[in-house]
Amino acid sequence: MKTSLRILSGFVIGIALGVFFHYLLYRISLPSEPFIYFAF
Amino acid sequence: MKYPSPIAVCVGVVVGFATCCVLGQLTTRKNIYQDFARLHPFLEQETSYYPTASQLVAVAHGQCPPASHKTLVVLGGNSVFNGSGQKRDELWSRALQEDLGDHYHVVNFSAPGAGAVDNGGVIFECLAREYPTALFVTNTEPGYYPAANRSAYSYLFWDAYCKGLLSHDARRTARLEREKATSDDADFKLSRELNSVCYFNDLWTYVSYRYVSTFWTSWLRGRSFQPRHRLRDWYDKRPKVVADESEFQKMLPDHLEALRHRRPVAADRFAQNSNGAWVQTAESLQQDEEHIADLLPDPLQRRSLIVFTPYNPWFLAHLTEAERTRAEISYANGTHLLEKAGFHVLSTYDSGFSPSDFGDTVHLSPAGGRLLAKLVADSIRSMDTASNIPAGR
Repeated sequence: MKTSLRILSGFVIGIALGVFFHYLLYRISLPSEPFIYFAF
Repeated sequence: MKYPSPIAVCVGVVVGFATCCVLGQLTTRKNIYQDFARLHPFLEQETSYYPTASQLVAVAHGQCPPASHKTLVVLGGNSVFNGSGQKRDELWSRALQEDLGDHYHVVNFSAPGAGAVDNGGVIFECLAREYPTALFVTNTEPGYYPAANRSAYSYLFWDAYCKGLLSHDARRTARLEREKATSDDADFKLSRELNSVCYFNDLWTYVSYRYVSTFWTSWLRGRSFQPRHRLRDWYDKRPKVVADESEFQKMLPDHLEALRHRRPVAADRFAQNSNGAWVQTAESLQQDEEHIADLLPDPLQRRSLIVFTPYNPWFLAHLTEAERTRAEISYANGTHLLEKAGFHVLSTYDSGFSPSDFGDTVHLSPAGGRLLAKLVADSIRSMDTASNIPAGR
């Protein structure tokens, strides 16, 4: 039972980290200021 | 209980990340934008929202499926074509749709500050093969012809390019190779290449639109975290455009000064010949010609109409004779160069626009928008679509 819980909790934490990492890539890819503010 | 199993954590990371990638790819297959009319500020970069090329392609697919056999008209261009100041119901592209009738379907991808082929031009190129009769209509001012990868909306070009949505064009490929050495946006391109595999921009842009926006912006303040689909067109809550001389008077001198620095008017692209007449310099004409050649790959020029939108005659009357002359020469030269490159051109410098057709120097009032729609509709109908040749991939 304890082993199953360890695996399940680890898997859930892992999924959360995977989703967060995906979101992080999105945030990193966004410019800090819109490009049009630099262009004009 | 001891610590969670490290192997299970690793497996979970891979499963979570891969699931997001698959979900991101799935979101590109459907039109997520309900009742899309234009890219108003809540749907573009001024509020840190960057719709992807796949999402805009899906808008065209959703609104005008290829099986509908309608002629798709993709609009690009800057804030004038974006209908800056016009409320959703007053939008000039709606008037254009009404004028053209059911045989056509107009979709407006113009955006503030965009060049001739930004946004709309990129999406048109993505769709050109699938919609062999589709037309591209955009606006700009003479002398401003940035390629889609050299502008404020270059992110969309790279998004489409990295996803393989654009046609193969040897000339462009060679140019991009040449520019690689001097380019300072390598990190930016890398993120778009990563996105073409992981679809993080597609997924989280979708989440921002549909469920919750994930960061604060100074434009939206308290509404920053609302899903974008709940925010109505920004212009709908703006005061109505008042097009009269007393309003224009208040805009002096700033707007007049800005007009004087616009490319068609500013003196730096001109010289006076021995007779004292203004002529555009050979260098600037050559530069314009080179930039025009980089706008769209062959043979899409023949399916494209570039509109030189007008200036408010009230402000033009405040310019000097020399400044007005330079503007006229710019419009004439721009028309000649674009036609020489195979584009259809509509120059509206002297098309009967009056001060009441404007909200400021260049942006049109609802009445001006209707006049523009009529002129553009006439030009679209006169374009020879029989000669359209689909772009190769």
